[in-house]
Amino acid sequence: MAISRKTYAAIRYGYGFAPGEDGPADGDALLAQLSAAKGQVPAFLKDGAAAHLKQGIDLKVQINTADEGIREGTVDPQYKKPLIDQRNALFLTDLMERVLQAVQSPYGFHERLVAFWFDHFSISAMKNDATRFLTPLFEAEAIRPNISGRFVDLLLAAENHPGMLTFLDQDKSAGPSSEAARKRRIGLNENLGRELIELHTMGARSGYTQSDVRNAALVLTGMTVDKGRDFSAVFRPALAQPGEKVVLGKNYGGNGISQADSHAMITDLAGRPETALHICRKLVTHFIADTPPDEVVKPMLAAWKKTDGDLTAVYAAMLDHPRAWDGFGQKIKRPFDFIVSGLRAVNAGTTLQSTLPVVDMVTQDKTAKTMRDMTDGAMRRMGQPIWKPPSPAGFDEHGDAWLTPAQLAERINWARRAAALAQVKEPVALAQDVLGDVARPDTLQVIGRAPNRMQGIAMVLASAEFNRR
Amino acid sequence: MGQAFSVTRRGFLAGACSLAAAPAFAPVSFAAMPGDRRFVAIILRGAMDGLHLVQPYGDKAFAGMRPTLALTPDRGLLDLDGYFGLHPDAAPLMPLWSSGELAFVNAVSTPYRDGRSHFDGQDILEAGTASADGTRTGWLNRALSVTDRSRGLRAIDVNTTMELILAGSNPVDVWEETSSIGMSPDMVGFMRRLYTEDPAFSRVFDEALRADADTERLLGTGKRRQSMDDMARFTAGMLNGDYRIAAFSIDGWDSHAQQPDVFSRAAKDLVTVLTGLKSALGSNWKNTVVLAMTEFGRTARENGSQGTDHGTGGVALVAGGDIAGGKVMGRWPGIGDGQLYEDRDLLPTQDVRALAAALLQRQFGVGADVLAGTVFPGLDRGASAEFRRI
Repeated sequence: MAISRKTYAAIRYGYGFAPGEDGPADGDALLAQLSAAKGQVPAFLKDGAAAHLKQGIDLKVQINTADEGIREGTVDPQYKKPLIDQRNALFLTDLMERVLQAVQSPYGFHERLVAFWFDHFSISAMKNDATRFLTPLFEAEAIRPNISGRFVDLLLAAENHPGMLTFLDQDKSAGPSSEAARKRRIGLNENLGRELIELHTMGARSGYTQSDVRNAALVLTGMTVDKGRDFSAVFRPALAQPGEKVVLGKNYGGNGISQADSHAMITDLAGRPETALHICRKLVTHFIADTPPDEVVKPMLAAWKKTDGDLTAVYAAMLDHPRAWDGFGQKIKRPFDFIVSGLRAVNAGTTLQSTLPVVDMVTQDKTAKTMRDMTDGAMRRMGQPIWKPPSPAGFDEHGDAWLTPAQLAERINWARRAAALAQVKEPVALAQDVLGDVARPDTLQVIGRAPNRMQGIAMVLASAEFNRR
Repeated sequence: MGQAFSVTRRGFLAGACSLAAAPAFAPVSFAAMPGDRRFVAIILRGAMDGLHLVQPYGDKAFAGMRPTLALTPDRGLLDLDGYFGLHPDAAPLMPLWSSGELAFVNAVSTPYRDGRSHFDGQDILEAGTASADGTRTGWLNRALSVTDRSRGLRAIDVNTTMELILAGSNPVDVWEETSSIGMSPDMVGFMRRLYTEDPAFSRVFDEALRADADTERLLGTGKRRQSMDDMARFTAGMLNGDYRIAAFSIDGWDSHAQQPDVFSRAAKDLVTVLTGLKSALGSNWKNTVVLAMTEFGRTARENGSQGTDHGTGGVALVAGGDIAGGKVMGRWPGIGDGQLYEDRDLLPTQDVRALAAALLQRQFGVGADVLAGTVFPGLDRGASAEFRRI
């Protein structure tokens, strides 16, 4: 029996069915989400970016001041703990609201694309005390507003965001012959220059050399973060390497020191055919199959070329291909997606919301404890902690990394706890609601014979069908 | 991972009490006992700076290349052989060094050149191939099916996700010290039926049940926390049982900036794991060889932010109860004028796969032909000769 487009739209391209919610019917409905979601403020930023940033900086300053005082013996070390708790509570709130956003948004495809692009431009909140507040802002400011426009705008926003500049050490880089390097010990840091080419645009082994990497890093010099003030991205000519730099055969920097050079280089990288190929293959790998079928990639490349990298046109080309609606189950949901779709399946969004914001890191409230452990805790145990990718390459995309005994044990345990939260109490009805027409008759039969309702519901979420897409 | 832990104290205890050390877990009897030899592969992800861990303070170019990072014996460096010194962050390893249970191998790398990508670098290191050719199986998995002594050995990836080094057609358990699957026999029956129609889920579920039973036997049913020390105890426990091969990772070596701080955190994990393995393996430590390796080294010169960037040649560590350690091995190329690779990185003079091959041969008798064919395609058959003395 053929699986309906409605099922594919919900499971392969969204965060699954939530009982009682009418999901998108087809590709057009998915694309319509992109314009509908535009301009919406994510749950973790409802107090606004400026207030969020100020709160983060204020706390950082207070903690640094306390540290200094403790070193000099003028401040009681006891004074620091509540500040750290407050900072951790803010971050945990952001993180759980990040989950809430994915659970509650009616625009699942939009949310999946946000996650895809955040992963593509991976930065980690764990880098230092600034990335802790810059990472949620990076997602909200650089990624979310730019995922349906032109790739070049998304790329420029990502590379120039203080979150990225901090995570990949651009804030510590200076041209070896820059004015700053002549006065103090500071020099080039290749980190951002390398990942810009290798991960963010052309892809590894696509024909660039070490000298392209180094020269790209030289072109990027001058871009830094105003750490003394508001942590905004700034261009400081004193850090910039003067003179000409050749990257992939193109000359930058011939007209004196200017931010226009890095802008031009990033724009050129966005326009390269290797970049289009790298990104289209990644999209298909993410949504359709671990080995991306060329037949789907090809029309996407054509759309990219025709529209000069308009991402909505590229997604449309993917969704327009019959293979986008075929071959169910080749992808294993990653932990974030498993948990978000699980919370949607048992309608636990409002329960999660009721435990926010996090006020105390140690709570006696049973529901709050459960929700923390079933989001932040579970994602850490399953190997996909939110906003903390293991490297700038993001989390593993291949199913064989995620279908392991330890992973399955975690998921079964999670499903058993989620069953206790379920609003729908009839296991077979729930299976039909959330698995749609991918439920095998055998699966429905075993679930129908479960010794009790809770175990039946747990089996729905632990089933192979629920973990595949 | 990475809970705070008193490494120094543990390190000294491990060194001081080696004679008194008893197996952490009671021996378990099995129908067919595999051989005694054990092998542990540790991947140091993020590119460990070998020149920071094992510093060539005897090379006159060194101090000038690393004005803020280079140490000398009068500034805390622990002298190893009059030319190389160990970074004080690794001080708890000195007892292992002194008793010949630890060796460093200098100037090794995979065949990977010039791309300096962590991700390709790690893929090549784990796939054991000559280039980043998209191979999705790991050398340690392929090694499981090549000889009578390696065939059927049980292997475990201590993680919640499968790492490439152990991925492949031979069954490998992926299980962590904190994993658990408490379930009534009745529920187990239902879950089995739930997965009947999906062979992959079915197989993985059975593996989970088996690993769960092993873990409970080894660690008890109490609550377990995630820490480097527990990971070492768990890995040792599985190796004291019927597992013979284990792999896991230690992250956090990518020290582009403020290297002393970044390095110190990761080194603490490495030290905790090595000393923890020795102590928990007890009498099996003498049958165990541990190989810790990284995707590539880092630039010989420090960069502008008290860090180092991606390089080529690096250092590998070999530890074990009956190895001929206590020496810095490898063919040191020097770091002076004209000696660096592309005037920036330590020149790799040997293939790290040759070292891994020698250790597989030592532990499981895997022959040179097979090693150079199936396990490490393209490896020069003679390359491992000098590593067989370890």
